[in-house]
Amino acid sequence: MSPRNARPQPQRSSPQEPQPRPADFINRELSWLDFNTRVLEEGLNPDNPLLERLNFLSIVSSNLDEFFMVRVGGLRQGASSAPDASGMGSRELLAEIARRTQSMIARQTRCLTGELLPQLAQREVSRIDPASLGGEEFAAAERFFREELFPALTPVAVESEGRFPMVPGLTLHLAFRLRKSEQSKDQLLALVPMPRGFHRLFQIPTPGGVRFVLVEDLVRFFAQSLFEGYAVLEAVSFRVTRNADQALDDEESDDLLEAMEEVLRARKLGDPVRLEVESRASPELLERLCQAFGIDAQEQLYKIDGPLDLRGLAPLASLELKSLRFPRFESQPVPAFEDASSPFEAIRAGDVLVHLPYESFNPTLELLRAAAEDPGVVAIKQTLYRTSPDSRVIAALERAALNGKQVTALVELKARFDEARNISWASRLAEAGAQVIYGVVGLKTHAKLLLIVRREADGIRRYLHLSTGNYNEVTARRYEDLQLFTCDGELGTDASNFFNAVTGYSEPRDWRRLMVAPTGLREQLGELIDREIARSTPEAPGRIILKMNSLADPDMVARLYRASQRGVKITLCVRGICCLRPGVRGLSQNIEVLSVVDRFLEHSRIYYFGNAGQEEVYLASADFMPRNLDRRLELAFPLRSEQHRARVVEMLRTLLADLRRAWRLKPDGSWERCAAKPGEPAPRAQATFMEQALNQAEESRVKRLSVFRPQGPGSAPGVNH
Amino acid sequence: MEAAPTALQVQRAAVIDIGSSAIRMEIAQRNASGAIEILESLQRAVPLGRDCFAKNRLETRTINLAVEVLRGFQRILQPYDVKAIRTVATSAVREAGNQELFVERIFMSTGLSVEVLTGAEEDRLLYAAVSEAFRADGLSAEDALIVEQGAGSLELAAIRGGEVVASGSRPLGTLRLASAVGADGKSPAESLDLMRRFVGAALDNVEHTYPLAETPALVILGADARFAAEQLLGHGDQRRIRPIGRAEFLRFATSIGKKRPAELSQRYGLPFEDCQSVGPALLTYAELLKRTPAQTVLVAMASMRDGLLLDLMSERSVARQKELDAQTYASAENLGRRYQFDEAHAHRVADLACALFDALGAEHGLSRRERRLLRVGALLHDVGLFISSNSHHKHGEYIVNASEIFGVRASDKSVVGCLVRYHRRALPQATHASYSALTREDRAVVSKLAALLRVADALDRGHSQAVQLVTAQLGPEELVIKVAGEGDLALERLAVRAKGDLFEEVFGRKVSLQRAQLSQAEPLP
Repeated sequence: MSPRNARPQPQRSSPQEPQPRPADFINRELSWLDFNTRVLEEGLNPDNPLLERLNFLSIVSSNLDEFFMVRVGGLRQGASSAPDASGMGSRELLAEIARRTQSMIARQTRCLTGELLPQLAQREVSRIDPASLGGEEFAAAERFFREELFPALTPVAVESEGRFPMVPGLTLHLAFRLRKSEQSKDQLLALVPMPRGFHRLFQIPTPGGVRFVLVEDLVRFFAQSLFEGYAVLEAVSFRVTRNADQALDDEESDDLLEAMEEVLRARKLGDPVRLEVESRASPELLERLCQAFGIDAQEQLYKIDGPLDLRGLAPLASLELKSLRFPRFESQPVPAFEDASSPFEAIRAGDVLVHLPYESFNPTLELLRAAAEDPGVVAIKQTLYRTSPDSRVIAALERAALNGKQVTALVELKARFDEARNISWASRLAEAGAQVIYGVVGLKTHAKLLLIVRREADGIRRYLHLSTGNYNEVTARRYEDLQLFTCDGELGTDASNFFNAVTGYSEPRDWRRLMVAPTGLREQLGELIDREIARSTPEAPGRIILKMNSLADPDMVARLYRASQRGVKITLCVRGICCLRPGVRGLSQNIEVLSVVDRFLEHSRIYYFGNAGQEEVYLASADFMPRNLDRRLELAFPLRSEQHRARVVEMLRTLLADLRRAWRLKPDGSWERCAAKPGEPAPRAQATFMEQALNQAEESRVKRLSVFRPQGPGSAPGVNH
Repeated sequence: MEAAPTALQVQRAAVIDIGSSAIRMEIAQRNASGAIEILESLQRAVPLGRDCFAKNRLETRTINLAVEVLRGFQRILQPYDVKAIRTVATSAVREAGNQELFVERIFMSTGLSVEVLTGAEEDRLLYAAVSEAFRADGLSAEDALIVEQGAGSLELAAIRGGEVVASGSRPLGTLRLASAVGADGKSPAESLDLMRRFVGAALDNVEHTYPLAETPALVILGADARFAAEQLLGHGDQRRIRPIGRAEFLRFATSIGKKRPAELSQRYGLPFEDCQSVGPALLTYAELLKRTPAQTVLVAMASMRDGLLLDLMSERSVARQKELDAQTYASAENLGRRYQFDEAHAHRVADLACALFDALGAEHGLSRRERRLLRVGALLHDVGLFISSNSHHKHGEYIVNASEIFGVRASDKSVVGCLVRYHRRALPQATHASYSALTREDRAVVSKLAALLRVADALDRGHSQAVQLVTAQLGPEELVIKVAGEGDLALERLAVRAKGDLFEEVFGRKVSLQRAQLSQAEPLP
């Protein structure tokens, strides 16, 4: 697939249709900030356990980091200086972003220092000031500093007129203002980056409770030993965020791997877009830092009255302290696979739909593992976008290649911020004999697809795993996704053709069941929306329900407005960015927009069309964003089993009925929490899904126990029966 | 020529089609219900046609690209362990001055032997694919004109009463069309107009063979036709035969014709290669449609490759096979009529030859294909008389070689040519160029079939159909042929003695002619 034929001009609605005006769109950056605010609200929400709240705060920070690097970076570069669909110019927008993020960070910090840390301290999880340590504890901290931290510290002096040293993005630093001696007036600035490879938290070995010191506090406290002969006047932590929106110039590069390494280097050196400094910093130090990084003190400087970079506090959130965490939940086994002797048998018996993380990711791993060893399997092809470190997925593929199977891995090197990780295992797979394709020039591979070709007695059968989520066993426990296991022949042919297209053996062909971006998905979604309009009558209005992470594509928004104007009832469940303005008379009064932000990250994409009673349900990897529909390889696949469609519809119903973790977008563009009327039940969708999964697993366990199953020949005698 | 594997053995098959603008492959298997299921479809653009039509030869660079593409296809093919692979090439390779070099290069680099199809063979395959598509949709194609415009040529097949009555290939491919008209410096409207006139002139010519005004249905196929169907009928349509209303189709063809390729690529996300062909192709279909009374144009989701797969894989019913054979014989008879052959004699010789073939099945070990070739050769054995009775077997050979017979592929046509050549006079010899050009297997086939044909021809020596075959029995010493009929058989005996020479050489038996007892006088079916 080449990008040249990959960008069909959006099928504009016919000329007599009025086009939406800028005011009909919500600005996408501001809508993203609203999303991050909803995450922050969960950090502030006293209904959540303390460590989970801390985790939400940490997510807010890591989200913001990415936002500044990519979005703000891009805006500053003037790359997107033309106003977006909402008509906002980049200058105006940057000012608004600064205003909102300042307030967001202030709330976040207040929550941390004013609520969470004090409340945690009461529950024996305490942040300790090194100065208050005594006896054994002090000795341990001092030993840790001297023996481990100190050798890793590399202070750099900055001459007052000299060039400023290189400060890599996102790395926490301490800035020390020093004076040569008591008498001297000469001042000196020294920068100390917090060393890589150390946790942000030093846990003091102590019986009972958790007591921790922040690494920067430790360094600050023992700083004197770094600067013999100097007086420390001031020690302040700061962090620079750099523009990372370096477009990978893959049109020019023959070797994506090489080009990618280039970008990884550049990411550390992009122009600074944000400077965070502890608010205790003196005006002269602030001025010096702003000047050094070319930071506009009005718009780009964030003074924070507490610890910086809350990503570093995330490890606290995984402490095994039951009372401070969400109740433990284990992903439940999938009955269809439990009852079958092999994953192949299970899939042959019928398509299997799995809802992560309520149901387990294990069948996927088990299918891969079985495929790697099964003598009938002749080929395995898979897309890999973001996978976890030490992935069992990679291990299985490696094993399959070593077993002589044809293994093709389409590895996406452009998965943002995961590139370093991807490059290393990609080389490992290639060494095992797999064919590793580093993405498609001009397109990011976002589709999630696994194809297993197996020779069976009655011919070739292809087993497919299609998913809305990545092949990542770690996120599979935290992200909500849907996966379909099938051996449908038509989908199999589409899958083969998909891989042939992305590996360059063939040009994209006509798809039988799949909808594929950038070759047709946008067009076909348009057709589906238009069909809904055509079938809509005042008595039986059309019905569209879409669930996705982001809705920002102006053309799709315009189409949905048109459907609303023609009477189609539309419900959108959009977790993140939503540029569509719902509930506006004459424009979108038939559209409602909800967003669920809860314990698990809502990640599945579902497209539902009422189709005059013949419901159609598609699952997809694609959001409605220009980048997804035009510049990425994305897949949408239909659910062909009526039972699966009914299950997904029920899922949507549950989600849309949430009154505990759901938000509603108002016509003015603001979000409000959905709440139950007093005295009425307040359902929480994710809790319902957990409960259902537990019940279902229990039911099938009971059913299995009630059936005597003869032991197969050659199997070991049972132990725990 | 290796014998085609019988249908029952083929579980998986692949066909590779080396066309004028792309190389395509389909991998298929027979599924549990016996139907042919496509496993993979591949396509890569390789501009063989561009070379061939501009320079009359394929450039090394393009051949190298073809090799690379085929090697990629082989990689995809490898895990499937496919034994039945058929690789064919159409007009670009067919017309290239360095065709042999190309075929040789592909064989050396990939081990694939490329079979260069004749236009007629292409048409037969198209027809087989289209009628299969009609059948799949519960329809039938009784009277229709089937058209596919490729990059190199325009393929036409006219169907009357379910039979192919005329088929052929015109050098009116989209590439040729575009280069003939030339787009430089013209506005889209000007180019459209010019192209319309060009196509119009070419179709005047087509009308001589295909009376378009009497064509009730127009069936179009190929990527450009599919594009039209998808745009006008949407992507969800699962039918194999998709009708588009006349007015709607004409409007669409004009609107596409007015756009430049770059615009089409932008607007529809089409691959650039397709953008160059879609305008000219739809225009040609539109001009054809205008000349017919058809109210719809039928887009068939079928391709020549489907026809090839049917050939390789289908568990073809006897009835279906007979149907196809009948089309081939009808086409041979049409050819014979054009050269004013003695129809009654031709039929009688053909029947006799086939009866001998069937009676000697255990001895000659030949299959259905050879029987078909024998019948075609027998029907045409005397066409050379049109030129001159002297050496009419030689005239007949070149007439056959220069003609197209529906369902007879190029290599088979050489066999038929040789049959005509050896129905009289000199026996096959290595010094005869056309005979020595055959594969070793086909040389043996020609010898055996010509031996039968000569005997059959002798049995109707008087061109009077006086003799009917009753039995033919092969003994250790001689072939005893018992016949019924009037007269004393003296003429026939004489002829059999003279023309039994090849039979004796090939089968090691003399031929003896006897009158059958009355009780035996039930003619063979």
